[in-house]
Amino acid sequence: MSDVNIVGQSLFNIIQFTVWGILSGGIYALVALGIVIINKASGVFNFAHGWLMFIGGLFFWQVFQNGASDQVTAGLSLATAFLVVGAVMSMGIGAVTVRPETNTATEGRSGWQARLEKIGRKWLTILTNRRFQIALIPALIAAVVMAFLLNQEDSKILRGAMAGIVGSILIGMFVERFTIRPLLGQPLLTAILMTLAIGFIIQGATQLIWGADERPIPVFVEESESKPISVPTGIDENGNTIYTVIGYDILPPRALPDYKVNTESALGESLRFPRNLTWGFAIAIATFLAFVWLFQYTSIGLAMRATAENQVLAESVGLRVRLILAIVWGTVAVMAGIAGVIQGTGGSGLSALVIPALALRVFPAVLLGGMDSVTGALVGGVIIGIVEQLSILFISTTAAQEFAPFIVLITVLYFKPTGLFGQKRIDRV
Amino acid sequence: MRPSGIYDVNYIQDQSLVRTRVDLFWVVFFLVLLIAIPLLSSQGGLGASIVPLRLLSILTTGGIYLISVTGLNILLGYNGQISLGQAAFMMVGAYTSALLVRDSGFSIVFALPIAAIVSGVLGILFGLSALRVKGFYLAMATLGAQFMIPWAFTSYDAEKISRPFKSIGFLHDFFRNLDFGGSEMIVPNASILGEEFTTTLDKYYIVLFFVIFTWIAARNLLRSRVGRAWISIRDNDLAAEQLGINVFRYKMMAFFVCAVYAGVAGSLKAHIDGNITKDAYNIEVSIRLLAMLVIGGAGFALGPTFGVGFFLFMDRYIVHWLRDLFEKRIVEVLAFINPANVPGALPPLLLGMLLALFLIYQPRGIAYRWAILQAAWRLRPFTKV
Amino acid sequence: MKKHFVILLVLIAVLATVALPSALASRSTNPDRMVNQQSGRAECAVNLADEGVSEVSFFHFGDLSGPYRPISQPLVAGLTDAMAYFNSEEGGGGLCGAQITMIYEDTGGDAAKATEYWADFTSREGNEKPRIIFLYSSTDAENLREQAAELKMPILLAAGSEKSLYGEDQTPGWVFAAIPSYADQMGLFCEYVAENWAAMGMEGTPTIGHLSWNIAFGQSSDTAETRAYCESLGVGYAGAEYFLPIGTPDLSGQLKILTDAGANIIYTTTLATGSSQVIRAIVGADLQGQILVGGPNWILDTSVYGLAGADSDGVVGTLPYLWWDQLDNPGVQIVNNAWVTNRLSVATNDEERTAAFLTRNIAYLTSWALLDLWIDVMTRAINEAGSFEAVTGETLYNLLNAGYQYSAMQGMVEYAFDANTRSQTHAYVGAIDFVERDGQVQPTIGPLTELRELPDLRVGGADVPQ
Repeated sequence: MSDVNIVGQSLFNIIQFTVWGILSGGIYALVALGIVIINKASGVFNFAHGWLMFIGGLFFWQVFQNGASDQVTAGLSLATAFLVVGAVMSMGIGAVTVRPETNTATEGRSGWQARLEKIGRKWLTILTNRRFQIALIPALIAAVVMAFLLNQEDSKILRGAMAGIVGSILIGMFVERFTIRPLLGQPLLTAILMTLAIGFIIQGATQLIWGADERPIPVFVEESESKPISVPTGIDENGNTIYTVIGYDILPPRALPDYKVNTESALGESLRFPRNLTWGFAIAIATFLAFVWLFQYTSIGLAMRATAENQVLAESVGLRVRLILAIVWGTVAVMAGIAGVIQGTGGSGLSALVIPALALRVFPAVLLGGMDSVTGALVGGVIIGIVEQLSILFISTTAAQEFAPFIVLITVLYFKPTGLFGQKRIDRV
Repeated sequence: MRPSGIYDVNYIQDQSLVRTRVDLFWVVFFLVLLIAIPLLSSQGGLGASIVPLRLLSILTTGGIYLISVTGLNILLGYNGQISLGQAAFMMVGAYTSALLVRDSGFSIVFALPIAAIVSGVLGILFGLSALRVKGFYLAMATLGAQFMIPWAFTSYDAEKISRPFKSIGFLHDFFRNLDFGGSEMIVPNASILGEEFTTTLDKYYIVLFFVIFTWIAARNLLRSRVGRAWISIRDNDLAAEQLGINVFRYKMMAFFVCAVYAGVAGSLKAHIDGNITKDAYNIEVSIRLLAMLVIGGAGFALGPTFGVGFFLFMDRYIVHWLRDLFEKRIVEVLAFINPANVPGALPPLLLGMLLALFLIYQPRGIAYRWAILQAAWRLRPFTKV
Repeated sequence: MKKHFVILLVLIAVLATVALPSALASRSTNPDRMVNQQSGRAECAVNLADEGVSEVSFFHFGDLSGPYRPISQPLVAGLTDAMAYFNSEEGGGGLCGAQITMIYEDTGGDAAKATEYWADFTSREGNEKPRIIFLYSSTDAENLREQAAELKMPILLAAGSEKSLYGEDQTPGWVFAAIPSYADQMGLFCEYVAENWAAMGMEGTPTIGHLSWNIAFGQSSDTAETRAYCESLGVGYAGAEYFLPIGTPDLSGQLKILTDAGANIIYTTTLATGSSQVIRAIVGADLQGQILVGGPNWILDTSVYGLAGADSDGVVGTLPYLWWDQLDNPGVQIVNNAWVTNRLSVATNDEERTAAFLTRNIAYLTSWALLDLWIDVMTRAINEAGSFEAVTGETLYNLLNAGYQYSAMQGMVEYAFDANTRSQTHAYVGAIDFVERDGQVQPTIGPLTELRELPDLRVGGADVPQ
């Protein structure tokens, strides 16, 4: 088996590169899913997705790497509690998605008292809802547990993750509110350009605040006691060099080698699974499934799908379309952030030069799978991952980055513009 | 909006390029101005150096972008399609023209039109995949072009590409013998009849000539049958089809013209810059060209000019001014900003902000606002802008 | 008729004396060739204040926010500190009585922007016109090479590819590099590997695989000449894989292809992020100790071990200048003191101290030597021309081309140019070493060999095997 050659490459290499392709394809799938969902819900093809990945990753990095002050931890705990309560509630009941019926008593009156009364009544309706009361108890318990976990000394990753999630949701909703919503009803071009503009804004803002440095997220590293780093800073009168300690943990720790699966008897070499890609794949697929579940089996997911189908109809049956769109953007930003963090744990770190360029290579995956298909995102992502790795093996790295995914894109456009799983709703001219 | 009392009494008058005496005055004024400006610089031969050479070099760069954006305006402003690959087609023009001049000894007089046509034909190849379908598929196809074309020109490695096809003889030979140049290149100066264009002044004039030429060509196209067909497709493609317009053919034509304009601009850019680099034609440039058009005003004759002018002003002056402001003042107030990050962060931030603000508050661009102001001036004092 | 004939003969004789030596000897290695033998900086014969010139600008542009950032940001920091020092009384009070200022632009790694800034800088007039422009990247220098000659504007380059210095037609041009060309450095690396392979405890025949950036800089080490030279020393060639500085997440695959082809040396012509990615890929494949990592001078840098940590221990590269640790050199001492005062002691928290640590880098160190070199060249040019206004790019070019030698920062870097040489010719081979002393980790970079002459591996160079 080990000496089988296929167009000049050994069978082992082909299997090895395909495995790497599938692993990196998992991350592409997660990114593609975000693009597909936004496209379905808002009808916008999001060119800023790479930057959402990047900024979500930066939020994670900021808290993960630099530690959080008590205020930040407290804020995060609060935000987490709020999120957990909100999430559990929205899964259980329709209070968040369905507009409470207007009260005739306050109708027509104006002024702050009337407004206050209106809000009070609305919350009274929600609070007296039986299903809400049932959902509230586990939600509160979950929130307390989460907040408690966050405050542990060694829950660095959890704190980082919460910062990433909270930050991403805020960014996503912010983007939706201030850039996408004002463009409702505008032509397609405007929306595309707007997402490009968002990309530029995030690029500039992150560079202004964090700089263009790459930020490694050292998760897959050797545990070792930290030693002080010192450098020579001068010479004393005897001619001896004076060393000054700069600090601890200035240099990144040693990296760990890849996981290996022993296949020597069958293939002649052992298959390697890079740690970041393996974990990244697992997390990406788990996230993917979680969001698919959210869309398919929860009431908020139902509301989202209804909105995606027809906004006017959704509005007319009482769904709060604008709130739902904001939630969609929030969740998609979280997905993007997760993908960004996964990418950041790799050798290139969280880099403004790597991640947005990677997101551009996901567009072929989206088109291949079909622009409105969730399954398509998964299949397309994995296929593009494999195509990319095999092009590295057979052709060259630059071809894999700039040529192979896009030749797939052009081929899809020529022969099946709907993609593999997309709805056949294309208007031809 | 025309001032009252001026009527077109026949069709020729309605369609003419210069319709009133005031128009004529402005056309002549700007032509004379553009031709006279460089004479007042230190290279002008009049001994005066009132106009700095820097201004000329900025105007030259602007002129090249203007040609490209004019092409984009035809596609987007008058035909309603989006291209994210304008820079890639510029690169096709640049390489074709540079190779013809350098290796085959062509004069730019012949190299430039050939480059433009080649760029247009390649545009068609990519456009064919997407133009049959409605929606933003053309944007996707051109995005593909935007990556594949620069890759082919700068990183194509015949040795490695042909390797997997070893067993298939003809494919192997085909890929083995393909040659796109393979790297970034140095481009000789443009020359016409042995006259080399080396100084800032020469470069300014050659670009000026093509700016005027392409401008008139675009105006003429747009007031012809073809132009009207484009506009009708943009406004309502179903209705246009009912009128007997072959929508697919005209869309293709618009895309072809757009790519040809890109080819002309690219060819000029290569000879003016003296080199071709991948970065001069990457996706960011494509997006910037789009942004220039949108901020300037897509679908307006003056749109590209306003857009390019605005961008040049922003790049060369506003960014510097803001950089000073940031490095001297704002960094003190916002302590988390590292002054070293400011130069790199400002251009994308500013571009993004401006684009977003324009899209929200002035989606039709500066040219639209300009038209409104003109109308307001004519109707004064009965106006309220 | 006779008169004409004599004149013709004289002309031919003059031409022969001027042109023949440079055409015949591909490079003169005799150190006696230097015309200016002085070791210290030239003295001013003119006071620029009399001319009404109070400020002279040092012009440079390059990538400050793109892939070159880990090198170029410390460079700007270094130039800022060096400028303050040289403007002070202690440092010589500026350039002939005028204060030195700095005008620079950020291209973000965009070669197109470099062309734009070039047009912008060279179209300035009068005293605002740059006399020499400092660039960082080979790409920019290769692209602007022809225009530099056309506009008579010399370029001072941080480090250059063979192509940027001598072009495709093998004529020394208007580009002068402060660091040996990458092809020459590669030759030195092969010499070192061939001599010390067994002593390093490595097995098999040394075979080099290139894993570098897909830009002019990255591709400058792997030329036909370096391949032939290394092969003549018994060092094999396994192939080259190039990746984009932007958008490459992982290098496992590329490394696998090279090791399959038999590479046990990975030579990477990249900067900080690229080099650390290569090192990390080798750790991932669990090949540490079995593969030697090499590179040009940029791999021996704080920016590399700042990103790759202790995994970068043992990386081998070229060292054409003194490193920070050689504090017995007065020039290094000056730089070191400035760094401690301006960067380290003002850092108050861990993050700032880390930033200060990363600023203690090649570029910070060599920026002082560069500015010193610039002041010396400008001073000599002003002396020669009689006033600042009369100094043109041509004055500087002639000065450098006629044979110029300067020991910048009192011996920290030795610069030498002549009609046939556009870059340094001597260097050490050095390595990154993590020393543990008194419970402290001290990352150092030290020479492994004596200072030696680099082979000349330009196209048609003296040391290229026939």
